Amino acid sequence: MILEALRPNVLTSLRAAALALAAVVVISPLTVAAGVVAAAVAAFAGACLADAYQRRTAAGPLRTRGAAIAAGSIGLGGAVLAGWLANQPSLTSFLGVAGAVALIEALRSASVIGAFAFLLRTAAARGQLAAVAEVGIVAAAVSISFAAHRGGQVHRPFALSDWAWSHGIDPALVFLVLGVAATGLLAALLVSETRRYRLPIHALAIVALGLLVVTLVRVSGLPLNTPGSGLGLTGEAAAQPQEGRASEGKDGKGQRRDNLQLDDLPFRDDYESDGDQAPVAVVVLHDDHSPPAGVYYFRQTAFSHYNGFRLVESASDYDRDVLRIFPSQPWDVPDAPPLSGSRAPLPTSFGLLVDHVKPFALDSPARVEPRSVVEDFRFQRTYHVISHVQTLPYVQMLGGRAGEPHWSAEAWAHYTSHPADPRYRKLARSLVETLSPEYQEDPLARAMAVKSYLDEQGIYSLKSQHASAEDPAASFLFGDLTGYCVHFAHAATYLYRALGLPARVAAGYAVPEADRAGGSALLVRGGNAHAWPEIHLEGVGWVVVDLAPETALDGGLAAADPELQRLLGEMLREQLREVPFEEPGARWTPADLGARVRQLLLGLLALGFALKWWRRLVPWVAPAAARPRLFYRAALDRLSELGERRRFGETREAFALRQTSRAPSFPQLTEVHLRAAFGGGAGVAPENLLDVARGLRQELSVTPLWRRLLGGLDPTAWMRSR
Amino acid sequence: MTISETTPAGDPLIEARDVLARIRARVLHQVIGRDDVIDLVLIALVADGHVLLEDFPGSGKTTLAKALGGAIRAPEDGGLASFRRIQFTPDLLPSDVTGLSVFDPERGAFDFRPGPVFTQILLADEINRTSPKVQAALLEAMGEKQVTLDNVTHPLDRLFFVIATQNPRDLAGTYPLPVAQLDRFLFKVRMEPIDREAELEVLRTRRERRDEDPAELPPVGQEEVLRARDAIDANVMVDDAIHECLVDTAAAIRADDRVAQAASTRSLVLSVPALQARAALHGRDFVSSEDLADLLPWVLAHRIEAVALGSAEPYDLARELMAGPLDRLARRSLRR
Repeated sequence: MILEALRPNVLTSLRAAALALAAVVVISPLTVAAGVVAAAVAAFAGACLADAYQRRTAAGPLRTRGAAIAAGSIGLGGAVLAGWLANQPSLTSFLGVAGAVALIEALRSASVIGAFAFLLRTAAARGQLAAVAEVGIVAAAVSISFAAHRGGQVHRPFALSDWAWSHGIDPALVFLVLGVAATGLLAALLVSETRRYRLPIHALAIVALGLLVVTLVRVSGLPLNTPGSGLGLTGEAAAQPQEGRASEGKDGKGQRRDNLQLDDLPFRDDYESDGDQAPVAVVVLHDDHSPPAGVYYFRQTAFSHYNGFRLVESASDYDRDVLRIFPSQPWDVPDAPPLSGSRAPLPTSFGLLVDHVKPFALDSPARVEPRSVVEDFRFQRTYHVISHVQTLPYVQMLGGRAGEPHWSAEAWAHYTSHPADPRYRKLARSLVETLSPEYQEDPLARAMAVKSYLDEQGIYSLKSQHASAEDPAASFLFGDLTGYCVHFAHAATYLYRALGLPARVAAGYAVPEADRAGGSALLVRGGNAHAWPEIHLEGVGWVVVDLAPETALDGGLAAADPELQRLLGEMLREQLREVPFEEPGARWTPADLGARVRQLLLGLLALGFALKWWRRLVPWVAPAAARPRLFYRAALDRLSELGERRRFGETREAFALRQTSRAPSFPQLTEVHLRAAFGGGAGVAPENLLDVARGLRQELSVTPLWRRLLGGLDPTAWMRSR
Repeated sequence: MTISETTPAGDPLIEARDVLARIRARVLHQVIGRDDVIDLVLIALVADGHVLLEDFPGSGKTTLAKALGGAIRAPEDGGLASFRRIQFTPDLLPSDVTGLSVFDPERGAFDFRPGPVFTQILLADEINRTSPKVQAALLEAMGEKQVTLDNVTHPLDRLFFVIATQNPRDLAGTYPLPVAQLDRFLFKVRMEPIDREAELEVLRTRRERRDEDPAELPPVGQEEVLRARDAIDANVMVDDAIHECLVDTAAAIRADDRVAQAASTRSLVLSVPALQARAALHGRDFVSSEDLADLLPWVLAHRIEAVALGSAEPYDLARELMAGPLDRLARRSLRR
């Protein structure tokens, strides 16, 4: 009894809440917080008022029209009043600017939204079409907010997404919750709906809303600037045409290089450093390790093939210790440097915040295990690497031999070819001669001689003027010696090679050990992108012999925010803990889940229609004994599509009686069915059963077309026929 | 398509229906605006049950009972009246109902003088006005269809049918029937006041209805009624789903919190012939859910003893509680 009495109020509140929610979502990009709150309250109040008015006064069309006109003029008047207030300087002086804006916005949105809600509810209570519009508006308001988030672009509505960001919550989550709330409200309305013709409409609206949510929402990752790394390490950077290349194309060299299909490091006159601070990855070291050079070198790629113009990435025969793709299975790197006195294994984990074309790993990777190959909530990718890191100080590597004994002549030639320019050899020789005689044949000592020359003479600057030269490295080395890491790395590599040392240019990220600040997490930022020269020593592998110019025109990268570094490291640990060792691809991401849900919904839809048509058509081909029941069931389905269903506890005869005016043949069919069901075996289908069934179909075809269409589109009607 | 088209001619069921229709037509001629009650009484007659009518004085109970008695011809030989009436009063004695043994000095033996129960149709007016002793005597006769006096058993007429009445309002100085006694009645029917048109019709046609024996509607023989009873019992199919629904309904009523005591198994057994009779009356040779929905509340209501007085009208309670089993029955019909 109490429930019955409460029912209208509960229904009204639900409707009003749905409208208020829709109002919040629609208005929040347009106004300030006060306006949003006022709009929500006004929408709720307007809907409640409209319902109360409809219920209390058995309002005729005339009175309804009067109320509608009143509401419309209140809305208009409020907006005009707000506009007038906005031009009153006295208000501003009295309330302050913020207060005045809040008041005006609240007044404007409350009057407009309130009047709109009142009109909408009034219309919906009186007309079927307006009721459809009501549900449609609520659904559309919520789905529009989702549509703004397509592809993870979180920027609307500001009030909600900013609030979420400032509280460390993913805005997509907030919108998901809102969507769920709206869907729940609509569902509650649907359940408590008493007018049957609205049921299919509401059901369709909910299904549409659910589909939209699933289709449009992508849970986004962290908002990061695209790092402007000029070295082409990240996916985005590689995909964009670069300035340096364009300028090279003008003097005719770009064309030939394009045919090679192999990437090289571009020389640029003006190195972009916009994305220096943007985090690109976080690395967790699972063991303590101090690199001999004081810098962690994360190699992504290497350039060792001299094609007559510059160094490019070599074909697959060489540099096999470089990771070329993200492996989908745990992968042992071929040609990884052996574990000897000079190297020790170090497990590391990587969480990429920005998409990269290739994985990078601490020098030098031996085994790579993918953790997740697809995008997840925070990290684009996570993987685990066991690196054989160099532990031997450089001094103790003196006396080694260059290259490997098993290298073929081609390999030697590959790693030592350099520009034919005689100045390289000349300069290199002169540098070696400064060494004391016992070190003149030592490969590492020779490299160090070159390094110290470049360190002393070179000037580090992000602005230089070598990119358009025939050989930018020569232009740099024999010119003003002003450039950045790419220039230094190339010049050093050519000089090493001129001395017969196998050398190459490696690119990736270099992070100073000091950045670790004692923790185990290391934040890699766009500004850490770096290129450096390496030489190959027997039994040790590729050894970084990097340059450190003493004169620098541009400052180095400031240390990373230790808090952010620690936080991201914790997140990576957390993530890896959650899924310690799983097969790649087994993890379901939201996008994945969305696809599954979509498939499931489509499957259910198809199944619903299939069963619906099966139930409708099977009586025509069924054996005679089953026909009465099947024809009757098909008739029930048809009536259910039109919203006519047997009530609980109602007998079949009473239901048939209720349908007599709509379908005069139905009682007859009911009797045939009941005779078959309760009359024992005597219930043989009479000859005219088919005629009765046809007659029924004829009778039901008088129903309005839109009603039949709606019923025909409803894949669930047969489930509700009783 | 009706039953008469699909059932072969000469069917005993059709004859039974014909008998019922004739009785009905005769009673309808006398009683106006009580079609539903007439149907219930007819069903009880065929189902070998008895009816308790609750109504105000002057609402046509006697007319109805007399009309029914007039519609059935008494057997030629027995010398029984087809219709008797007992007006119950507090000072009535059991022998006033059942009859008594009178000493015949000529023969020097006791002679049995049959009481008013030795008839076909008995109207027991205001049954709650008499003492429980007299009530018990009548109710025993109703249950056993016989009267035992001085160790001699006197069987009653095979068609013995009681229409008892009681006034639901004027309860001062009455002996209300206990539930156990009420259980002997198949139906307890509360008669609502007839509608305006029917009441006008009663006034307009009072003269014609006084001619008791309309020539075009000959009364039905007792044998015919008995034959119809057997035919219906033998030929109206009762599906097991119907039995289940009956049992489920009784269980649902017993399980309800508001009910202290509910329908007995006997009442369920008694209700089956009533269901069959209703099916036959509606031209069906099987019992359907409609029969259950229509009859069961009448069968069950007066057997329900509510926990608290006035908590719910038993008739409405029965209707409410049978909705679940009825729904199951309806859904079950689609499944096989």
